Amino acid sequence: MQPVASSTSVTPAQRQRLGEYLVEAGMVQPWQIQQALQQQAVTGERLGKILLASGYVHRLDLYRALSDLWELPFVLLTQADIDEAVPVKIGLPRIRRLNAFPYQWDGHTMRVAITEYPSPETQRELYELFPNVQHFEYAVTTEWDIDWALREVFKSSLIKGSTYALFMRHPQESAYMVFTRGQYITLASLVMLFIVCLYFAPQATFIGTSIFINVVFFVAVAFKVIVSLAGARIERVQPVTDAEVASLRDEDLPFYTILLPVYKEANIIGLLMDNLSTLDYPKEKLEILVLIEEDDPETLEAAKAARPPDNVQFVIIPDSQPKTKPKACNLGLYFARGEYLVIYDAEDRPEPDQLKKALILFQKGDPSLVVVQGALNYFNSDYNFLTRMFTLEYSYWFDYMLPGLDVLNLPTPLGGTSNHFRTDRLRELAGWDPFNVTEDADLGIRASMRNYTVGIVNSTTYEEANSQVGNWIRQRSRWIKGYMQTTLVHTRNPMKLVRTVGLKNALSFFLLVGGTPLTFLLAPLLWIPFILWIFFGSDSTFFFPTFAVYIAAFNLLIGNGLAIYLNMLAVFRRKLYWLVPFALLNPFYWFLHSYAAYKALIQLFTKPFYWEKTVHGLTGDHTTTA
Amino acid sequence: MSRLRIHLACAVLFACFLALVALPQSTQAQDLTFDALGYPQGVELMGLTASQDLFIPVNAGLVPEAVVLDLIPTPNLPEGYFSISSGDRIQSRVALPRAATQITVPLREARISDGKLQLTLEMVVEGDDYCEAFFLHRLYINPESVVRYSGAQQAAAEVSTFFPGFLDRVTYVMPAASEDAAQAALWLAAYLARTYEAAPPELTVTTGAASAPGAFERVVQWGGQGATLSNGGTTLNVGDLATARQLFQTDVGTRLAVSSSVRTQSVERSTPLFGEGAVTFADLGFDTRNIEGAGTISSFYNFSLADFGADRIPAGVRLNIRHTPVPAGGNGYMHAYLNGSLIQSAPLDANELDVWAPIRNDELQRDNNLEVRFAYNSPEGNCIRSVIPLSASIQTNSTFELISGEGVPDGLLRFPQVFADGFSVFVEPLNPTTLENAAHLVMAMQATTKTLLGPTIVGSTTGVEDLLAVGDHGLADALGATLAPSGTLQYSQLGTSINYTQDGAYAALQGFENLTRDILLLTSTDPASDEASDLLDEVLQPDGWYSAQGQLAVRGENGRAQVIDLDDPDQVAELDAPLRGFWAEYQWLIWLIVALLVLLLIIWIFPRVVRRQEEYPQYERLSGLEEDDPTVVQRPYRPAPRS
Repeated sequence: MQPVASSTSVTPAQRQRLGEYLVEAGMVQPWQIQQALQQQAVTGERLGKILLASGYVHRLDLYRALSDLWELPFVLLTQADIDEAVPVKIGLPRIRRLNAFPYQWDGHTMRVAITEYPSPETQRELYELFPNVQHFEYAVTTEWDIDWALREVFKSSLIKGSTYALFMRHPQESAYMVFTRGQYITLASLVMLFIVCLYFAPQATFIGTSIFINVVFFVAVAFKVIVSLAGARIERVQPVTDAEVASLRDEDLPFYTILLPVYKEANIIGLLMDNLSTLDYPKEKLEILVLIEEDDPETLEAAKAARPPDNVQFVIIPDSQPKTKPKACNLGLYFARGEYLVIYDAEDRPEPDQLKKALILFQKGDPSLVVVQGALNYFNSDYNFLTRMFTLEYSYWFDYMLPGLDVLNLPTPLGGTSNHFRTDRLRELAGWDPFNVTEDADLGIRASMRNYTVGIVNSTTYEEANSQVGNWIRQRSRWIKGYMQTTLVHTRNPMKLVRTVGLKNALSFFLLVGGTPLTFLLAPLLWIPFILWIFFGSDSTFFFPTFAVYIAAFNLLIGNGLAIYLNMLAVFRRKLYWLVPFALLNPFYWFLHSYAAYKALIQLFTKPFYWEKTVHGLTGDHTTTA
Repeated sequence: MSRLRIHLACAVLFACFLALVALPQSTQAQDLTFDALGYPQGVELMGLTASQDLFIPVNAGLVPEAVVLDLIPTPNLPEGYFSISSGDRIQSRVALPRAATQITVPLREARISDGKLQLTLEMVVEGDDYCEAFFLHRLYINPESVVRYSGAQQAAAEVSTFFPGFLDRVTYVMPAASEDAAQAALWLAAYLARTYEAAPPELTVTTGAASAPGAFERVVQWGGQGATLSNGGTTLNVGDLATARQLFQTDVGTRLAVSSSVRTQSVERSTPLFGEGAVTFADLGFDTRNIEGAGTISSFYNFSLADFGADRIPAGVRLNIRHTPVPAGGNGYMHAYLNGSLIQSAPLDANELDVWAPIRNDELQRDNNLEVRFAYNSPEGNCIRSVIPLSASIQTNSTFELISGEGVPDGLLRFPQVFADGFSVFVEPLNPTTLENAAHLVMAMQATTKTLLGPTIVGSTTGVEDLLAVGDHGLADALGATLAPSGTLQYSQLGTSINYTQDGAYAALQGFENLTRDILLLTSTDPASDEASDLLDEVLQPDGWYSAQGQLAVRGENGRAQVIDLDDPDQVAELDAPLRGFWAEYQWLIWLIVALLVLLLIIWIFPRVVRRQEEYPQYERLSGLEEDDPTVVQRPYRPAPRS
């Protein structure tokens, strides 16, 4: 059956050119058209998109012009009566793929809002989807109208989808279930067994516990040392060179989506817009989705006041629980048009070439490479003690630890932002887990578990290091709780995990993701025998015999020494030598970690999905000059 | 920067960190507090001018670097200065502090002779009123003040230098418990108490291998032949009793180590102090005492009855004093007090005084204090700086006149005088713990007297005279000093009893006279346990054997030692502290409650973190959000070959 293109008999070739129309209508200046055409010659992108991205024309004017040119009526979906049963029949993904939103059906005529002139293929597919329709009436609208209408029509589904999609597709990988019954019974049994042992054999129990803690602590630290030393190898290798970046042609660049989840960030949203404007990527091939919660009108107003370019779209996240960043990202993922996608935080300052470098790494890499992690570091490292220690920690983590995991082919937990994805693979992985408060780390592990790989790109995003203790504790307790959740999720069947990913990867996962919160929890218990020994000397030998104290002292010196060594090592790549003395203060930093770890442990049982909000913008625009 | 250089730089920095961590510990090992050096009460300077000499031991190889003094002045102390000198060289002179402060005085240039450093602390305060100054102007030097040493101790090259000026611990090692080895240990204990009179080291006894001795530690090992050194001069091997006797029971022995503040003297029992029924102050180790001042000035002499032997007591003291004449218009008197009781008084009407003071038996105690006090009134008054002071010199030929007899009371106060002529030691079973307890008792008693105590180890309690016995309560029964668990303490053969409460294990220290012999008895329920050691630790706190009073000290399983006085038959001693008893009795219940609470918590949390099936989302498909998109290929959750 042949498709029927109702309401229009004008072919594109016969129509007036868009540029000429806009100039005649006084909507743009001739030089702007000229400039856009030159840009089009480079990128191959459509003229309308270039004009929009350049801010030369308003979206509404552009689509009204197209409506005139195509001799089709114009419709604002925000003002139209939408028959929800019609779009629901064909579903959100197909509407976005066809750029056609059927919105009314009166038994005879089906009205369809479009943003591109309907191709014969589109018309045929619509006809097949609605075989009873005799007449299709097309009307031009804007992309934003379609997105708005989709969010309205599919609101309930979008909430469910962004919340439960992972659980429904891969329940065994979702943190929605905090503990399995088996995990909980095992843990409870161990606690009860410990109490019984304390009663019947307190000395042996204390000694055994002490040795266990020491062994775990030392092995976890030694593991990090080994991985970091492997990561040091990358010092002499640039994953992506500047020459490779320069050789990229704009017309070959794919469409890229940036997800920007923000919540209560009215104070810095404007700054964020400025930071993103420095990205070296054609604006017409860049889609920026700012994900704003429905109950956060202040941020929305602040974002509008920043007068962002037309490639920035605000996506309002319906108010529902859990109110987490991954849930917002999942919803944004439904609307992402880019072939690749990256996520940034509100206070991020990515290096301009980051998108291109990530793209090159994807192109150079194996097809199994589904995510590329950019390095993170801080622009306010010299603000106070906390920011200095944070910078040391991040430098070690992103410059040595993650590259080490990459080199050794070990599961890699992603960092919070600057994660670049192949969008289709991200959708296949069902996006982020909204119930996991370190959804990024979990996603990296899930990708690794599916034998996908994670790459590390040599481009840095500068963030704001937490400068206040309370804020730091909130953030760190969330991270540690997330690591606990991730550990629980992937150890629901430990033997299956080992069989699936192999012993080496399983051990690596245990030590890195499980070992991190465990060492923070155990560290105070490790200090106790040593402190007792200092204050009470031989009187403490009942609980901690000399050999146990020596082991603890060994860990204190060697374990902490190695941790300090790693932090010292961290500064060299970025030449932050002035931070070296602060590495010696690492044991004090551990106190804060341990405090946060115990807070996280309590929350794991009381508020497992609670997202401890980190306040940004505390240091203003302070930037390190050292 | 190359990777190698980076690692090298980090390694160097890390090494620096380790050195920083290790440095304070090594430094601390070379520091000694005044408390450890024999000045547990600190030092107090009072008046307008005051000074005191300190004798600081300096082990061979060590160099006293500095002394860190914690100075605590009385409020509103007038201006003045505080100086520290060594010999004729002033090491430091500072203004008197207005508040508590710490000063560090370098000692590198200080003079050391005979292994000791003499420091003179002097305070001079501005003002004229001596009387006011004596009461109000004081500078206290805290016993936590520290002498800081550098260098490394030299190992002893020969036996005579084996015991350095200061020791913290001596470990006695006997490969197997034997009577000979035990005998040597007891002699060693007495020797250490005499040698390190001001700050005796801790003595431990073991049958196992001793750990490597620390900076201020030595090991005495029973074995080998004669007396030899090993382990780089830190271990003294004693091969036989003859050698042990020569080393530890005679003056010759090893050269007497430097004591910190008091000159030590030991006396062989074979040559008693008193030849003709009298003993001079010089024989007791007292130097000529020179005192100067106006108003009331005193000099004190501490002595114990044991200093005179087992069966002699002083009947009087003859004081030989030279003094400056009392100016016309003034007056002066000498008063002699024994344990606070005036025993004699005489006017200072010439320039020499030879006075006899009788001593009654009831004025004597085990440990005595003789005060020679001068009350001098200057014609100008006593409180002005320009007053001509009285100078007096108490001569060393002053004597105690002795008579035969016993002046000792009952109980623990009989000791060590009754042991002064020798005593037997019975230890059952003979193991490191019981021997160590016996050695501690010998050591504590020896520290109170200048008479050389001569313990003789014996294998039986029969056929021996005065006895120190260590064992279990069966030994107490055998010696007629049963502690009945029924609540009544009985000395069966003395017919004395007191009430007390006692449940479970306990240890007791008893001093009593049984027929013709005096017995000091330490018993415990389990001699291999720490019961008796804990009891001794508490009884001997804080002043060693001086603290041992009364007739009986008992200690329950968890309580503190209680000293019981037989003169008060109605007293009841609670041996177990109620709180500790509560824990011991209800420990199981407390644990049970804790376990139940944890179990309840686990049950309460369970539904909050473990979801039930009915809590899962009740829809299987996300309406309108999924499309059979051929571009999305679901990857299985299983491994695939990596590239």
